[in-house]
Amino acid sequence: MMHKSPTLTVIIPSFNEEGYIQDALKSVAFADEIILIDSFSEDATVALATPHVSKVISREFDNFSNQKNEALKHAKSQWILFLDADERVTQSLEKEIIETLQNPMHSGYKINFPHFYMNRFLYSHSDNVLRLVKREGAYFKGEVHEKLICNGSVGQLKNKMLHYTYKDLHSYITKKESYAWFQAKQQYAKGKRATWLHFWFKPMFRFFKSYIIKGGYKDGIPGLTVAGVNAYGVFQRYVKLSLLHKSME
Amino acid sequence: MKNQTKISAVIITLNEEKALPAFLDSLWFAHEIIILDSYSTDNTLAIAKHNEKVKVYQKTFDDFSTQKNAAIRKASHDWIVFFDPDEEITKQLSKEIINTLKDPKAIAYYVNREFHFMGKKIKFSGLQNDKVIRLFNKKYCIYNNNLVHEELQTTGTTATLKNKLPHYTYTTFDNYTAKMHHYSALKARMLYNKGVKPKIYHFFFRPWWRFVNQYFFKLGILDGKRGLILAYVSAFSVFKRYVNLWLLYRNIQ
Repeated sequence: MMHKSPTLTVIIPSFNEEGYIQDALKSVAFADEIILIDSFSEDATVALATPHVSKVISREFDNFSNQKNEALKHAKSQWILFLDADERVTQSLEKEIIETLQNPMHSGYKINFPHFYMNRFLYSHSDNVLRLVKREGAYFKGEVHEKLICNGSVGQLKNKMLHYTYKDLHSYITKKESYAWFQAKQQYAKGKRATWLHFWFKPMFRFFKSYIIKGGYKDGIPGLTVAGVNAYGVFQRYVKLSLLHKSME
Repeated sequence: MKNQTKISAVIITLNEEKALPAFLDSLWFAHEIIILDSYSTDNTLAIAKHNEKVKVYQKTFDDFSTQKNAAIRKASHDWIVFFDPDEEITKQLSKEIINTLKDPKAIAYYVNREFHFMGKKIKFSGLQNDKVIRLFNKKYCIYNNNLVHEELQTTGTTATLKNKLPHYTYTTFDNYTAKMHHYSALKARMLYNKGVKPKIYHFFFRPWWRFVNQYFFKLGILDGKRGLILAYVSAFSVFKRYVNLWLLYRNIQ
């Protein structure tokens, strides 16, 4: 393109992503630079990626923030897009990114991620996540839920990012179950206890929020399942909180 | 012991290294122990082979009935005791079994199980009458074709043993729910094979009904928080069963 310094670097963290990485790279082929930050994958991820990226960095994983901040140090462009291997930039999103970066009004842009679930996208459940940022002053903070910080105002892109999170129902549920432990431990550390009220009302409220307020009912059985599993996850959080108080697992 | 009726103890296993040593000890009264293992990846086999009464076989797991029937066919004696490794065969119960077999009046014997959950005995929640056949004569008994909650079908009189059978199905909560998920997936498969289609009321009514039935009608409410947790988890597993069924018709995992 017409710029003196490169415009866009895409940073992709990876660990054993051989099934996903090629399509992810294809979807960001328009970038000026692609950096793969790999935490020593044991499969063909690096071999598959190498011909299509500008740089591969291998780094022992400690947390997502450090991993991505390390890659940031190597990026040469003015703008950075963070992409996971199971995410795809659509052609319309690509166009919007290119146009936006020709005359940017903000220092960062959020992108909308509709949940991919049971082979369809749920429009009732989506997140806006800051992913496209000016390199100057951008960094990640937070050990568990890393958060991208940028220096200046934040805008929102219209087009959606495709995110293939769903593998199968069982792994979706077990992910919620282990997340429930994480949340229970956090509450336990704060000295909280699980009361009858928690058991009765919190899951019900989560179901209501997910299914009615967010409009999950519009997404058929997948929408209902997300609501049901979310409520079950909340219920488990309190079960696990009371287990922690009994020193049981 | 001279004229004691010969007993084959039969077990099906998958990764039972934790429970197995004590469980095998509790089968001291059996003349042989048949283990049909579905390719455990832990030390189950090594532990099993330590005991000289044990004969180990392996077979891929399809469903409980098929597996149990296959295990029974390996037994050399007619009288079978078929316990799960998470059940505790107490001294009194094993003595009662020996005494019963001196002059058996029935061809199959039920045992009342005591369900333990999160460290406590559950007295209600529909588990008041948790009776299972654990001692039977294989000439007259076979497991039906249910993929889960297989039942032993008998052609003859049955009786109930006096001593109770503590049932420690709970090790960790995640382990408990993993079992429930396995069951709900198997039950969905069973409904799919029967051609049952998921309907809206399955999703909205059945889980509620399970909850209300177990928690109120079957008095789970008297089991305290554990009663609530059990009712909730089984309601969720009913819900998940129909989601699984819905997925099966769409060829999605």
